[in-house]
Amino acid sequence: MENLLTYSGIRNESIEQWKREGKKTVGTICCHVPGELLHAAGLLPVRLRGTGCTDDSEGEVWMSSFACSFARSCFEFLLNGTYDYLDGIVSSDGCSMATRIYDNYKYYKRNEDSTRFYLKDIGAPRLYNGKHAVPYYISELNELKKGVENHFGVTITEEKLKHSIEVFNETRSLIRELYELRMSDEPVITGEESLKITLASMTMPKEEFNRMFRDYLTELKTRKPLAGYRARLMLIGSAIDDPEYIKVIEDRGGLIVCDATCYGNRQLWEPVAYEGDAISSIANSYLSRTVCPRMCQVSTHNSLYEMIVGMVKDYKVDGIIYTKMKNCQVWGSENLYCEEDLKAANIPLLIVEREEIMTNAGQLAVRAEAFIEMVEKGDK
Amino acid sequence: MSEQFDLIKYLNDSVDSLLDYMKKKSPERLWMFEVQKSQWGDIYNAHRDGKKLIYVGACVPPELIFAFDCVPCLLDAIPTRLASQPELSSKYIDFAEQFVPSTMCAIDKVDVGTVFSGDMVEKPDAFIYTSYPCDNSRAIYPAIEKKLGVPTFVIDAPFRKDDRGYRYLADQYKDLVVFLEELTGKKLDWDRFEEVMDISNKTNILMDKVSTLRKRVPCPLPSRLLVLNELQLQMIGHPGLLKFFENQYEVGMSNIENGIGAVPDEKYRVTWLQNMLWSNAGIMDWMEKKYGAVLIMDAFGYQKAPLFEDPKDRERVFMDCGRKALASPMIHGASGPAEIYLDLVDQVMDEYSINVAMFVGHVGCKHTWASAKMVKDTIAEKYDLPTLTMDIDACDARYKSTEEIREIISEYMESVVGAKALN
Amino acid sequence: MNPDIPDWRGGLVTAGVDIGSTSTQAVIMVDGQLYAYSSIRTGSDSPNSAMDAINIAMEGTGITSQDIDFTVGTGYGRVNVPIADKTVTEITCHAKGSNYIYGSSVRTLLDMGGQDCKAIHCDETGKVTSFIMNDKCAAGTGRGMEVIANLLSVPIEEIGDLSLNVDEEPNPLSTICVVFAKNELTALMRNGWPIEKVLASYCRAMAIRVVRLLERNGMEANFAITGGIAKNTGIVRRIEKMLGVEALTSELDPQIAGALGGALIAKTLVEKRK
Repeated sequence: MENLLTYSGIRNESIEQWKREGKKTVGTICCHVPGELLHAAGLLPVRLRGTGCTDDSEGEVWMSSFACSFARSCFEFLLNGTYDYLDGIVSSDGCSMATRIYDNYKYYKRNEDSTRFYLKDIGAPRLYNGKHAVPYYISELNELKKGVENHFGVTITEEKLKHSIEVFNETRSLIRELYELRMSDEPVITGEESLKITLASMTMPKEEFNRMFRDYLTELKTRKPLAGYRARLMLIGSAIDDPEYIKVIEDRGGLIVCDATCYGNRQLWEPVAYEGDAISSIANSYLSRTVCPRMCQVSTHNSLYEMIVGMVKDYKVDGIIYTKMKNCQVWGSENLYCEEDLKAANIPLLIVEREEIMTNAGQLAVRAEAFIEMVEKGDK
Repeated sequence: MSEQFDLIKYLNDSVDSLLDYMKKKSPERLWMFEVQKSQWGDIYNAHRDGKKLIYVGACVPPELIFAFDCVPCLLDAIPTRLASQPELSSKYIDFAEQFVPSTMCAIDKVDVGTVFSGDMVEKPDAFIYTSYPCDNSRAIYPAIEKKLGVPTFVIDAPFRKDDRGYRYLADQYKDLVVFLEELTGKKLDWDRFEEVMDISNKTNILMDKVSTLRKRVPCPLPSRLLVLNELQLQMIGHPGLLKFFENQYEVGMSNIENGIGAVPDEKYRVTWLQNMLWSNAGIMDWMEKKYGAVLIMDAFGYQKAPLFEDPKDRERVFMDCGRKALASPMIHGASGPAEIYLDLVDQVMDEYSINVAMFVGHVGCKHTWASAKMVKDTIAEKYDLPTLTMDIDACDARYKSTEEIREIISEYMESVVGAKALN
Repeated sequence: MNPDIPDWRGGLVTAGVDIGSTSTQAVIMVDGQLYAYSSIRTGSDSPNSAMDAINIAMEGTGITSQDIDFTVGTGYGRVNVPIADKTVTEITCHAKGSNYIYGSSVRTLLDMGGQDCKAIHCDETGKVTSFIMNDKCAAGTGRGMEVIANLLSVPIEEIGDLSLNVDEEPNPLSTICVVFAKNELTALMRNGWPIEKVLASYCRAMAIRVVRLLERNGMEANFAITGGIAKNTGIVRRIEKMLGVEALTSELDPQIAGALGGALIAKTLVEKRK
């Protein structure tokens, strides 16, 4: 059986094969670039990340030491050839740092022939289901659609979009099945492996992923339950695209059973309901699903917090590890909003700061271990 | 148990003392400070005067708030005001750091500190905020909303500054009118709104005239006056701000007639490319004295505000509110795609005949720091000027001492620019 | 050696070894009562430090390593305790140990160790309920204090009392960063500040930093301090003053809290197995 996990790497055989077939790849930034639209154009959308970056000094020259290391690492990879297989980048303004990855790269390439590399940024509203937000987003998406068609010389038909939605919905459904397994009292898969799977889903053609993962799931269901872990943990916080980080926690005895992170379950989860036309359907779905604290008006639309509390219950979570990327504003102060509520709900919380380039594994390890000692419920 | 400190009362009382002092010492400069009474006095007296007090974030049209006879309190105006009083700003910053990362922008730390400490004694009647200016404000405003527990209206500002964006804002501003009507129990008085728009237009025309005066060589007005341009965010449409700019323009014109410049001998025309250094505005005075270097214009404060083209056109008015919001200080350059910031910088360099560029970078403003290289490269390519880069904290004076800042600027002015100290 | 325990034979003998970055402690307990302990400076070789500490603790007791029923290793170098049957983090051990040293009323702990600083909450059994660690910099740590002691040529154990010998509390150092503090301290000395005042300024800055950590985790009576810096009266008094609380005191050496907690946990683990 082919190993799906090898396709979780930023450079992998699946992408190589795609390129050999003469097909094109577009990097996407954050969760509001609809991959379906690019897929319908015959492109491979690949979600930009900084996994495995060991040196972001060039990124820092451009983005400064005040930028978050996730953004700097992504930019470093754009500069150092790691992403040289891309034929374009489409960015949504998830947060200011994400926007700056795009802005700096566009500036970096300003003297190059713009017909060779597709660059587009779209505005993603910050109000869930906003009555004016959805039409705004639809206009942005229509503009993106035209831009993709012009640049790549393709036509994105309604049929193609509808089909793309179906393909992506299958991916979403498979990821939900994966998490369903993690809900079990006798889980068979670690958080580290699960993250590799969701990363693979963002770094290879969805059809191939769907096919491979269906087989993978069958195998998973036959596995013996994991033993030796001491606590069931949930991960929330700034983007985590690094399975090594999760491994540090799991090596200390904590099993990550679920999360509310954007490389985990927040990008591909809620299905797009097709109603009327594809672009509207995508816009409505993308703007109703819970993402991250980039959204405003959360007091009246508290879906992120409710989701977290709901998952703690469903996944029988013993404690939440909340990681904050240094200089991340979006997740950096979320505790101001939710820490008291989590305390009132008797959900133990460990807050740790992190950098994309992991230099402090020992520090993470001792905190994780102390937290596990604090929340474990007896020997397993 | 010590008495609860009332910050707004303190700010109001401080202005009163300041005005008393200025009346005696230099009444000719009273006009520079009276506008502060309009600002803090109105907020302090709002409930006493039977008006609704509304906390606002950036991009909330003050004209609309005034049209409903309410008093806006721009939360972000407090940290910039307190920046010159380290004992107060540090109190709120330290308080906030119990909850938020120390890397958060000090403007927002002070916002959190003032609200969560209880020092904002008088509870507002409503809170209106938008998704601008940045991630820091987006992080804390919902928490402040939750803490205040008052009727709140949230507006999403568009990513791009184009007709689609203005329309997006205009539609939400119309919904805001409904919110304000419910809050006040009154319908929008269009006559009153037209009056306010008229004052707003007159003020913006004057601001543009004042800005144009600054393009002259030598610049007829001191660096210091730039600090107050940010008042527009809260007070455009208020007669107090109009009076302030009328006076400023008069002084400027008089200076030109009498051949007076901001400094006796203007040697260098400086721009600051990011936030205003509220925590150490004295640096500007020092630069003037030491090098004849005048801060002609700052990128964040630069504005050519759109006007209300036709206050009687009830559709157009909201589009114009959108245009104005997206052209306001700091918002115009720092929010959205970086390209706009680069264009803005280019405009400032060109229109104001700048020959010294400084990126005096507030550390909390991470997304403009992430544009700094592009800004510096743009200036180097087009104007063949090297840009001084310096990290400071615009609202927390403890970050860098006056000595250190002066040393860095001196080193740059003397070694790179070739300036000679005048005294 | 505890004179109240006439004979350790027949009792459950457990040990805890706490290898910190600057010092190592070993504690031997018999049936959950403190029997013997040692405290030495951590050498460059952690496993040797662990064995040295245990050997010194066992000296004169007649106990050998074979007699120890269960050993828990804790601290920075916990994976390097050759005779450890299990490792437990110093956070968990300090809470347990403090419960023994200060009694079941202790709820808030401050541990200022060699390289990090921790604010810990525990319940009446000494179980951790929440914690925050600061290990980003030397401020609030023994290492930081050592640097300052060396710079000012003052023996580290005298710093506390000297710093309290001031009529008026000076402003705290503007930076807590040990690297930059050196410059500021030297400048103060050059300006004619007496050594007491300079130390007061540093201790005050350090105390402020530590108090912030405690407040972030939340203060709840009763309060106790463990770790090497618990012996620094200059820091302790200032922390107490700022928080308006008095730290609990004990005749036992607070530096052994980690190892003591380890030995107690060792006992629990043995009993669980039965």
